[in-house]
Amino acid sequence: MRRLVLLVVFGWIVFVTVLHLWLNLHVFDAGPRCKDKEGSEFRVGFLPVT
Amino acid sequence: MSTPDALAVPPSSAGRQSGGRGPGDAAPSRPLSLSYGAVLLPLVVGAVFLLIWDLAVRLSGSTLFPKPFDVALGIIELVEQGLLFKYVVASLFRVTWGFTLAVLVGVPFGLLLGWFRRVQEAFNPMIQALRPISPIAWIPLAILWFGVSDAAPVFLIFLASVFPIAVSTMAAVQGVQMVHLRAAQNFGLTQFQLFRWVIVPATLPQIVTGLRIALGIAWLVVVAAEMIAVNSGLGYLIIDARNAGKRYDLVVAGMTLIGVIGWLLDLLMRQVERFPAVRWAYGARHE
Amino acid sequence: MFEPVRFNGWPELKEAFLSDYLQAAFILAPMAMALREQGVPIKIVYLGHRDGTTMMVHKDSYIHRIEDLRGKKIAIPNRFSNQRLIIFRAFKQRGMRIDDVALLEMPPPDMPAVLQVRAVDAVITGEPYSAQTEMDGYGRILFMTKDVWPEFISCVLAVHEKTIRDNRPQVQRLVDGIAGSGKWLDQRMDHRMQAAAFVGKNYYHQHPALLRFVLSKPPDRVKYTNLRVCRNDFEEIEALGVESGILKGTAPFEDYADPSFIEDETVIQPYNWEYTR
Repeated sequence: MRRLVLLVVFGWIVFVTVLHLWLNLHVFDAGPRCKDKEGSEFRVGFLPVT
Repeated sequence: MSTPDALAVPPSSAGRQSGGRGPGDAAPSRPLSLSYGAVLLPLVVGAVFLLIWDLAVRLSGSTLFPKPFDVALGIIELVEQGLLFKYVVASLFRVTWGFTLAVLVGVPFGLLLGWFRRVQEAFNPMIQALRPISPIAWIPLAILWFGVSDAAPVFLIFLASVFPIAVSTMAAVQGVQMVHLRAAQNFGLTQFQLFRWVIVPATLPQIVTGLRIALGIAWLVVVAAEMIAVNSGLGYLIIDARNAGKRYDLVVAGMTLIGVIGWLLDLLMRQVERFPAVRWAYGARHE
Repeated sequence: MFEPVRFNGWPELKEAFLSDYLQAAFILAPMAMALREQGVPIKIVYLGHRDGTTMMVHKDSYIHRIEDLRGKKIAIPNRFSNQRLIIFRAFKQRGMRIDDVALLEMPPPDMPAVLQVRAVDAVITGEPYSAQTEMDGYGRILFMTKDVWPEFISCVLAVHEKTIRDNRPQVQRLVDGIAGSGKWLDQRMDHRMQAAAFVGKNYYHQHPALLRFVLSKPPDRVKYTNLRVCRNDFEEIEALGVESGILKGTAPFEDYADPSFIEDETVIQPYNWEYTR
């Protein structure tokens, strides 16, 4: 029984992590990335207000 | 197994209908009215609530506040935009990690606090001083330390959950009956055996209750954290809907979803509470 | 190349900039200057736009002139904002004092709702939240910045000093891009309408009809050219900031600004903009 609980918990953690990485962090996306040639990030923050 | 008063914990809600049946018991015939009650009563309450909500909005003549049907349409719209699933996953991801870390830190720490008086004397004042600081108040620091990333909400959830878990674990250990400890000593158990075979089973129900409460807090905090610190998740959905103009139907849709998932999480924890190793300590009221 | 990150409130944007999560930000001008005074190595390199702020009152209120604001509650986006300074400036010109009114800091998205329920008497904020109150029928314009403080500056593009040091070409590209886009937007009205549709849906999550209204009624409600960082503009802001109590005046123009990225506005070409996803 304890084994089952641990398995379920561990399985859930892995499942939700992979799902999150795929959907929100786009870790598995193939294709062009919006990165610089040097690979450095340049984030520009804004509020949608003038 | 009789339940010593010191180990009795607040019983879980009336929603549990099959309490009291162990694996070997013959299934008692359950009156039909019980299962109707489990489903019908909440439905009736829910329906009345929706009705009052709808009437109140119509009577007030408000153009901003959505009616239940508007909210349902809003939920459908969110599903169609494809955002809903992504955001639910994001929120669940953060709760999972924050809560897991809190359990991994809080339970052992709570056991130590409960068992060793010196540890409690040393750390308890600090814990009691940090505990009342709302996780929301930590948001500015979380952003400064972790930026706009998943780490910030995970940290906030960890903070919010670790204290209730540690404190209820500590209380559980301190509540173990002397009679059990003396009996164990008479049997000549080592410290480790004592821990594994007496303390842990005795404290498990109260620890699980603490976990249930902490999970509720964690879910509450993730939404608040997402309103400020990140760019995805159900809390962000609400803020985004509100910034998109007058989409208060989407705001309430988001709130509804948060409520539903919170309810499901609670149901999940109640299932855990039904395990024999946990259930024995709860009152016999619901058998 | 450049990743735009949308925020919902000024404090969060400021914190993200301070924690180096953002390399650049469109930030309130007095806020950038105050941060510099507090030692943050921030440099203003370009403006975001000119004008684009309006003070709105409820259409049923008895406030018809600026003087009628005496004793009322006004919502402002932040104390370190030119919206607060324009109130100060307008009051000074009319012999009033800033404490003749109660000022409340509020995130701009909340302002339409509080005006509608009349929890405050007036709101002053950037577009499109001012225009939203007008479009929804309960707001009335008390004044536009172009009538009280011409060439009003609200938000500026600010960059970390070390980003300029380590990555100057990128910063230059960013400024060039903004300058070119600005020229394109102000070139023709249908360019503005195109932008409203695209930006509204993909970046701002605001209704394109609202953005179209903001960009066209009147056409100079908000302007996107003449965005060079000029000493006179900022020293005026600094003087008002010191006088009204939000700035100390300890940081000189050379510290908080770097106008070297665009020397001459006239050579900027409108950027021929294509939809990219």
